[in-house]
Amino acid sequence: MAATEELRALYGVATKSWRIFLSYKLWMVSDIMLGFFFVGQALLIGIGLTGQRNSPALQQMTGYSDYLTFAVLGFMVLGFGLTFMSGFVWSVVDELYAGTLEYSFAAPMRRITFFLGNVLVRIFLSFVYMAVYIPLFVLMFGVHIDPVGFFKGIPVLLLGTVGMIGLGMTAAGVVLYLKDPGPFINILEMLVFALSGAMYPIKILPKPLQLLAKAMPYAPTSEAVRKVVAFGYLNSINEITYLVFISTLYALLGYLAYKWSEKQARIVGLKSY
Amino acid sequence: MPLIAIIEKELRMFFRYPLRVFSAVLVGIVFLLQFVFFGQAVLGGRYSPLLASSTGIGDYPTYALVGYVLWWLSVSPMEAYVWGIRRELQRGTFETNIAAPIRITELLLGLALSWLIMDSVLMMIVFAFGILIFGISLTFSILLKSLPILLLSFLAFLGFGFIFAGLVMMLKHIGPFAQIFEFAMLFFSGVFFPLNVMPKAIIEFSKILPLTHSVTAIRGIFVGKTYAEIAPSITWLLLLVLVYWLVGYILFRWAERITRVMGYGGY
Amino acid sequence: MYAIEVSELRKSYPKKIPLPFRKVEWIEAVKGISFKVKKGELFGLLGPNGAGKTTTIKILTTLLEPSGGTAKILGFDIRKDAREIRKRINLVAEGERTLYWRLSAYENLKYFARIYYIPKSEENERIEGLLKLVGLWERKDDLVMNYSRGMKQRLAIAKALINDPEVLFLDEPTLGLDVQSAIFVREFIRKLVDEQKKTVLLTTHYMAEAEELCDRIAIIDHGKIIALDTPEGLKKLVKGEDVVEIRVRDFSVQKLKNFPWKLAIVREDVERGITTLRGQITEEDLPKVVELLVKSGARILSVEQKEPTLEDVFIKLTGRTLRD
Repeated sequence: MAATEELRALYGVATKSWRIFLSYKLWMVSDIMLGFFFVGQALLIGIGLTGQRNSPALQQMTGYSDYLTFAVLGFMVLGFGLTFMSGFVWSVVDELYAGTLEYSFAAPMRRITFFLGNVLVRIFLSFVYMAVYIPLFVLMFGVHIDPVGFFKGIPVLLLGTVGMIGLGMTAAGVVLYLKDPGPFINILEMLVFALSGAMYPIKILPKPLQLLAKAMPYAPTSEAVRKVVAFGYLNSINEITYLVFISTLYALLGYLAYKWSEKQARIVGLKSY
Repeated sequence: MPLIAIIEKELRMFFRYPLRVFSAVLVGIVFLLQFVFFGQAVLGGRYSPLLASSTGIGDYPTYALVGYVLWWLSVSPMEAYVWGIRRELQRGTFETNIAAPIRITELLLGLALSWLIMDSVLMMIVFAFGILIFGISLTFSILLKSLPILLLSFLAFLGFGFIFAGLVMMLKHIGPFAQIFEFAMLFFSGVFFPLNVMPKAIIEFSKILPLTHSVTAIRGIFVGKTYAEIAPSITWLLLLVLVYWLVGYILFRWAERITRVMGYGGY
Repeated sequence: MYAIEVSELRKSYPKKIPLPFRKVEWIEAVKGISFKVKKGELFGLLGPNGAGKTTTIKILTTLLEPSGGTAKILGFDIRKDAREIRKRINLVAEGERTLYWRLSAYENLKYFARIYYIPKSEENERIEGLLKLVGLWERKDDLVMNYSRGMKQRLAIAKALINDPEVLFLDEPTLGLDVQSAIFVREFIRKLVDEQKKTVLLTTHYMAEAEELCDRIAIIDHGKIIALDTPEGLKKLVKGEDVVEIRVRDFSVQKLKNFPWKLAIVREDVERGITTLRGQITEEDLPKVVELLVKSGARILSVEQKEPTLEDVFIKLTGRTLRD
């Protein structure tokens, strides 16, 4: 009985965030444009600098000679990363500003249900975006994607998603108690951007930044996905093992942050704006 | 001077939050690094003979840094109108300002100038960072020679942005539209890649964007060209300053007439 | 010369942005109003929400273009001489978000002093004087976002005095304020008129506020002025006839369709099912009213005579209360 009640609550949260999302139609268009912007930019930079569709330099460093496929796979991971960092965290903060977060938290529903409902909608959305992107990329930019390899990459992406959600939960839990969350989220977003390895192999970063990138779930996901798509699971055991480790770590961290946030809310209360 | 008062007010609000300034600088840097690092990874180095033959600049970091900084500055007045006015509308302060005896055009110009100053400060930091991290060689005379072109570009950017002032006042919320447009400018004006990879029609179209000429002129100076050699770009810029200020002003007057019927508030 | 002269003023709003070649529906908000305000007068526009009060203020402060009619402020035409008018007037707009919350009180006033062309030599002295006048000098350096609602409103009034305006427009100046702040604001406004001889036009939907404060009141409803006089003069409209309050149980509006008297519901106690009706009913009519009410199924609990207020004037003229 309790379980079905909780599921109904989850359904309620999910439909709510879905509706709110749909109400920003123009932003959806500009979101989707972002993908074309990134991938298109990558293609034009490549052609403008080398005049070719293949890069021996990239091949040597990463095993990918087709820099466009490299960028498309990176962008997919980046898309997921941003969904759980900015999309998710902003939605919670927006509700805090609007004052509706307190109402949601005052309901008998478990607080984790609220977060999960938001997260589920975002996973779904990310897949919808991908379904829009991939065929269009193939048509417009002539991206070469081997369907078998590509589908092999999806479980790895989902594995990485666990860690990204954990980090998103941690951020959301902490940000709620900051005086001015806006710039803090921006800074985190930029870390995701710079350290996700979406547009370039993190090997070319300075050492300290490489370590930081390795310590966040995004770059390990990018690397594992790329490796699996090109070389299959067996050749990617190292990358996958590391990803399992980092995802578990962040899932745990997210859970702890959530517990802390739960306790904190009772002690200091949510701010009213 | 009311204009100074507006600038002082905007700067005060912006620099009051150091974390916001820091995050803005970080956004500026990360965005730049994305594409420069990508280009370098594909090239396997920093020098592209192809780029050199099509644009005269072979060093990719220099090419991208100049383009990027100018792009950011070129959309600054537009952002001032799109986000600055919207913020004042949301805050409810827009009408309080309009009710003062100051001219509305002066009010808007003040807003755009403040944003241009703030963005210039940000871009100076990003530029210095880029020079350092990419090890770009730069002489004092290049900077000095760039300055007049930069000022002329600012004039053109202000006029270009003014087209949006009227639109925002009338339509209130054009954020997503503006964002798409800003990104499109990256493609049209050859910021991260040489324009000659684009179709002919787009190359022609790009001539009406001030950024295209501003970028060409300043990149020229960076590789040691004289003013005489970049004269076509300068002429274009002068022409565009006139055209955009005129068109922007007429469009604004028209939008203002309609807004006075609708009301300035409406949030 | 009058401070404010309004003649046949009209305003319609387009439902959508009226672009060329686009057919747009228009909604009439102000339907031809006329009134004159003398210098040094405190004039009130009283009416329910949506009556056209704010629209009128926005037109008079040159923020909105009227659709028809004329208005002059201190002899200047609102269409032609907007800038001359703006130098000589000021306003407190409705709501609490009219100043910069991320600036301090002092910084706000400094900013407005400059865009109102206050000479630099007078700037600091004037700001100090105003902040002391509204009792915010001690907290002049705090950001406005940390102010209470009442303090924000006092600062808004200080801002409205920055150019020492001859005419002051106040849109619902006490809306949303706590009791103490509201009293402060009312007394302050009265003093501005009595001591500094300023002309004030304010809008309100609080009956008592208009009655207590204003020299003359225009009652406005559905975009038209339906009465204009001093508070005493307005109340004379209902003098001589008696104001009656009737408390009934099981009242039903539907069954009183063709009721010939203007009675308004002033209170409804839903829990106990008791409705209080109020209106002017003569001695001769009273038994008939009671009879009709009883016939409609209502049970009379009490009938009481009351002293007439402005609310009764409004009920007499419209058959509604101001809250409706």
